[in-house]
Amino acid sequence: MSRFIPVFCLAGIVLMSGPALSQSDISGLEVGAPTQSIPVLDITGPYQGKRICYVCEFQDDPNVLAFFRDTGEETAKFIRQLNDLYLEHKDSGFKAVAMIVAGEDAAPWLEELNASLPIEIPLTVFRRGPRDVAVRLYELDPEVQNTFFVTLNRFVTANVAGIRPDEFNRVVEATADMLASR
Amino acid sequence: MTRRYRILAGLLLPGLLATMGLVDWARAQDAGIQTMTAEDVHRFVAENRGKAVVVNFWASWCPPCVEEFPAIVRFYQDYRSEGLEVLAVSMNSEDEIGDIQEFLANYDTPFPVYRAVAQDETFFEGISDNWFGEMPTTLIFDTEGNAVGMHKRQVTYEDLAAEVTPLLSPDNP
Repeated sequence: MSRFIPVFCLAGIVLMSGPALSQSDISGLEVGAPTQSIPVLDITGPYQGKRICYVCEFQDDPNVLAFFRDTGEETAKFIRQLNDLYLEHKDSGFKAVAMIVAGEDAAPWLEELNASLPIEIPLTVFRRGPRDVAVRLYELDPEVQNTFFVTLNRFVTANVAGIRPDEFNRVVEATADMLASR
Repeated sequence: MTRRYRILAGLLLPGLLATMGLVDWARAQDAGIQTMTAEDVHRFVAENRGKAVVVNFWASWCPPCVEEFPAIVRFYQDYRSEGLEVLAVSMNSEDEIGDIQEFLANYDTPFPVYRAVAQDETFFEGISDNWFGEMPTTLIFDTEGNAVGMHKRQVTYEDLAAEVTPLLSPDNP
């Protein structure tokens, strides 16, 4: 019986750590992966109302590509924090864009958000919603609420996914590391 | 001729004519924006051996692509007589053909423009091991058909002049 004790202990650790593991969700491209060109529908940015590829627009500039499963108070908090991050670093050529995976139904919500607190980063939606080819190209998990790619020269330097608004500092730190590495 | 052979001939004849140089790539697009596979792109380069070839991948929703296009048109007009060939391949999807036509209406595009048959890895990898679909992307081939340059950003007239003109020869248009 005693020889089974380590097995039971290991099983217990795995079971107990289940919720903790699920907090660090996996979604999106791995670090080192290239970022492909994807067109999104611009809702509040300089190309408002048009299909536009911000990944192309940014070219080699350092940036954060933020994907949100849908709208809501949590997404609003993230967008405000991302905008603050952009304002802090924009003089060094830093860019950022927010993309709502849910699709065009999110457009009125984004317009309202932008009107309530002017946001400089472009707010965009996936034209075909969760069926958009970008979901596959960027390997986004449709169950994960948010995915942030910190990128430089069109390569992912950090992937932060499935975080709460009070964990946004992980994106801030990854951005600082990326900017410092240039 | 049985129906099976007629279908086979319909599939093979255009490729055979192109191989024999009997189909003008520029005229082939008159009927609309036709598609091109990665193999077609390489065949275009091979058929233009003896010329320097610039292949530009673009899309109507790619701002730097839109910005660089006039420079490519101007560069081609200035150097076509010295043995330059240009091919533009749109990465727009099938439901964006109207956007391609709207964009091209702004230019009297003097070189062939096609649409990539697929907008994913199957096409990217067929073009180059080093291309992951970033846009704009411009490839430069020398007169032997060797890829000698790859830009994964907006190119300028000056970029092209610096890299392509040394490959040209006024005596070998």
